[in-house]
Amino acid sequence: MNRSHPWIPNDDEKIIEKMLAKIGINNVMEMFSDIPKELIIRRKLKVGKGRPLSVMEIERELGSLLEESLELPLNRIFAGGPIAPHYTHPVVDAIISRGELLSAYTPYQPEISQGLLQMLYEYQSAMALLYGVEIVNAGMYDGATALAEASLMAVRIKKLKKIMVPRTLFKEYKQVLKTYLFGHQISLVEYDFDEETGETTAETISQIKAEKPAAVIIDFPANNGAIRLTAPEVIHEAHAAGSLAITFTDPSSLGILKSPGELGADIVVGEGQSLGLPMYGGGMLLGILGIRDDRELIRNLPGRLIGETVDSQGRRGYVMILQTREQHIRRERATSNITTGSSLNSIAALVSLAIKGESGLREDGKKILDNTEKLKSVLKKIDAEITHSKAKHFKNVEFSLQKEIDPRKIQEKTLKEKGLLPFTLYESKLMSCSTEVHTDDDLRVLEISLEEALE
Amino acid sequence: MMEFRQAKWDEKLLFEYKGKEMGNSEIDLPEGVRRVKLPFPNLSELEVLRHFTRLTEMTYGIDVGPVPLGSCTMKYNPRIAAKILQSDKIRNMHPELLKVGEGRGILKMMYDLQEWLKDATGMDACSLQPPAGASGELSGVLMIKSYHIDNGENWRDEMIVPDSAHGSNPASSSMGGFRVIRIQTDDRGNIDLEALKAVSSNRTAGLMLTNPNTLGLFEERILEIAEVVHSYGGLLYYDGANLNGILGISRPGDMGFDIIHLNLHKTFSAPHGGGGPGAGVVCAKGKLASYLPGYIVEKAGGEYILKTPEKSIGSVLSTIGNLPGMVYAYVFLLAYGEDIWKVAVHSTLNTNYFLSLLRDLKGVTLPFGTDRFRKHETVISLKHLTEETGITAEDAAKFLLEKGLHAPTIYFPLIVEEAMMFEFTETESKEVIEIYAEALKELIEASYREPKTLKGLPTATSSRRLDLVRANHPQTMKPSIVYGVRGEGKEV
Repeated sequence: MNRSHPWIPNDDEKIIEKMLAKIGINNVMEMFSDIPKELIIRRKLKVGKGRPLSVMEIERELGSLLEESLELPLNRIFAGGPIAPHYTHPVVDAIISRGELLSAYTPYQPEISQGLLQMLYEYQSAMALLYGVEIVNAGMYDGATALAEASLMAVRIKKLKKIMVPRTLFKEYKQVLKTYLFGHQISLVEYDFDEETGETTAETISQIKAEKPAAVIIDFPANNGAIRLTAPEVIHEAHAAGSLAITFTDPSSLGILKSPGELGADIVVGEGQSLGLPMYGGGMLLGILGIRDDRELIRNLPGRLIGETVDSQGRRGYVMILQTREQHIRRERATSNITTGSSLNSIAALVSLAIKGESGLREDGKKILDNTEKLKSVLKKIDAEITHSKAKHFKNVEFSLQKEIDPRKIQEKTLKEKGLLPFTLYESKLMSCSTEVHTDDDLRVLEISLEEALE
Repeated sequence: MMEFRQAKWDEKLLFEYKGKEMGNSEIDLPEGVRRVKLPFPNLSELEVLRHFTRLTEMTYGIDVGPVPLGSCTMKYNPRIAAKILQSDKIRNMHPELLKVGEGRGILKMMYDLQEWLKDATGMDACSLQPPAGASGELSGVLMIKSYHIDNGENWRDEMIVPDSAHGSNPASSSMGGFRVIRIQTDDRGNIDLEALKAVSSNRTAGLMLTNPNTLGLFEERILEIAEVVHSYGGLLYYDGANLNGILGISRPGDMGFDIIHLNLHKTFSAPHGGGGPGAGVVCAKGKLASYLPGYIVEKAGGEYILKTPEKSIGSVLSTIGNLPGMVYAYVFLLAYGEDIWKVAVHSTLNTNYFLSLLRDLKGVTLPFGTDRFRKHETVISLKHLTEETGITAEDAAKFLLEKGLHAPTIYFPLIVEEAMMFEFTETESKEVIEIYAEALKELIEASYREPKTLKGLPTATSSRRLDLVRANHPQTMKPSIVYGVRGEGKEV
């Protein structure tokens, strides 16, 4: 067999011979002689298409595979939830596809990684400004795992085994929280809101007092869109009960909403996809995790943290700091097992923020706010019952269809006939969203599509 | 030897740019929740592009030169995958579309990938959800916990981890609520089998093992290890960070492992992106398959659907997983097909060739199983060099940077003093390895000749040696531009 693989520079009989001679052996398999014989596979693996494919063949293969996927333009997607259609600026793609960055490792050698380190430091700073705290780490996997890690921080600090979560928290997030908290048998207690206004009730307050949880999670704005005016009050009550206040906030709302840090949160969490990362089926995520300046919170913070310093000539530079919290040093006593995080996605979010600037972020926030009100009008027209209908909403709207009709069928129909995804199906409710990618015409198309499907 | 000088832009922070002063329009929200100010500059597109282009020029990835960080498997990230990922058919895919079975092409790809990974590892089922290796580990640890609880054996609270293991293994065990029992490595670089027998009991939940281990050595008595752990009712977990050394040659499933994780961003060519996003996969055998996290793609009547395993531990991510990482792995396996064994052969060949070039190097030793062949990586010790010249593994790393070569992993594994851990992978050429070995020889000579000069390196990189004490000291630490500013009452 003398086909040489284009990605292996030494895949050549002559080169292999020279290397073996230097090593002092005759056959490559001699290097595997310490593997018990019965563990050596005596056949070719059944991977790929058998025969190795050339790059051109791979492109063709993937091309025809993707033909089998439905392609919707961003402005025909109204499905709500943790992932939503947002515009990705071409400058973001231009930067994150640069090889120096894409193919770099975690910056263990700072002198040769200053650019990467500065970008991550800028990311931390940008998020600190947005969320109104002083410290944000370099990025977690996604909003859900960041929230789970925040909860584990609270459990370690307070030594209490209960976390209170809002009923409105994304279902996907509750599932991840449950998984992460299973290891230490920590229980989740749900709290609810006024049905119409979405505001905190006296019942919530007494529940916090009675449960004495390690932390209360507050979604602001609520994951079902309601902008809860009583969020500061819940934070206050959590503190009064001796609990930590963990907020979850969509960063695309922070151009117009007061920062959770300013509202008094101890730990702030968010999902960065909404800053303009492609959806990728839910595959390009970024967990934002920050804390107010507090020694105990810092000591318990998971993930990478970059800090400013100087080099031997006094010039400003950046390094990874407080690594003694991390798994490669602290091992079983580390603050988390997290190793690889989401650096490239952190940088994508940073570039996107840089492009938007203060004015772009405010304008996008405003547009989402306005569009969400228009979305509610569309939903009202089809007699949908909106959760927390008296509240002002941001981005997501949770509702149910009043007619005795299977929402699955409606979704199918609008997809097939209009090439439009109107909502996400949850067990009992539906969720739609509107963002900066939608125009008035797009919302009009949504209205017509839903009306026709409901006929 | 090549000349090297890294770009050195005196690039200010993004927030130090002035930008346009633009007025803000009114926002219709109550004052209590309304934002007043956000000090981000308003820059032009070119200003932003230029700022970040300069910063990327001060960054070093595998596209620039070799990055032989041990246990990190820094190999070529095929550009064809990057090109495919530019397609709006993938970029604009909302997760709901996959759930209702509309992203057929993507689901089919995920299904094939699951099947191929099953055959490559000898396991029965795989979940592509974990977003990193450590997430796969946590999944595995929780699966072990769940399994024992279901069997009414909730007293199993001990996880055995060798002292050569990646730090994420004990950390994941702790997150799963287990007590970590450490066992030592013997002179040949294997797990000390007697020590394993001594600590195994009916409290043993499982053993977490990397094979080949972090010394680059295959666990020669893996079958006996599996027998011991299983005989006490424990489970075997495989850390797939080092699969590159045996891919296509030997399979963890045949060795007796019950649960494994793979790193698509290591073995299967997805990029590291400067520290993520990664992509993990967790696979299991037999009864344990029904405990897998997230979703499995199943084929039902010609259609592909996402299904949650019956006794699943739940989700470890809010979505199906890192789809771009999966595309890289899919492309990687298409490109190699049945020739996949070449990955293990060439990465192993490169390691042993590199070691053959270092023979008889003064001050350098090869600890553990000195007469054994390494697989995809190797660890050397500079202990003697440090004792004789004062030059440490860290100094050595900086010397390599000066030569335009990324340093190996240093001070790991913890059982080797002044450790340097190299992994070249199959995508580095004989020539690059020779240049690298030559640089190490130069380093040794320079250490005996002019150790003081070495302490002043690097000078050719964007920055000189950085002050880590200042960076970490509570009085001088600065993790963001606003840190410490608010405390002084300044409004930002």
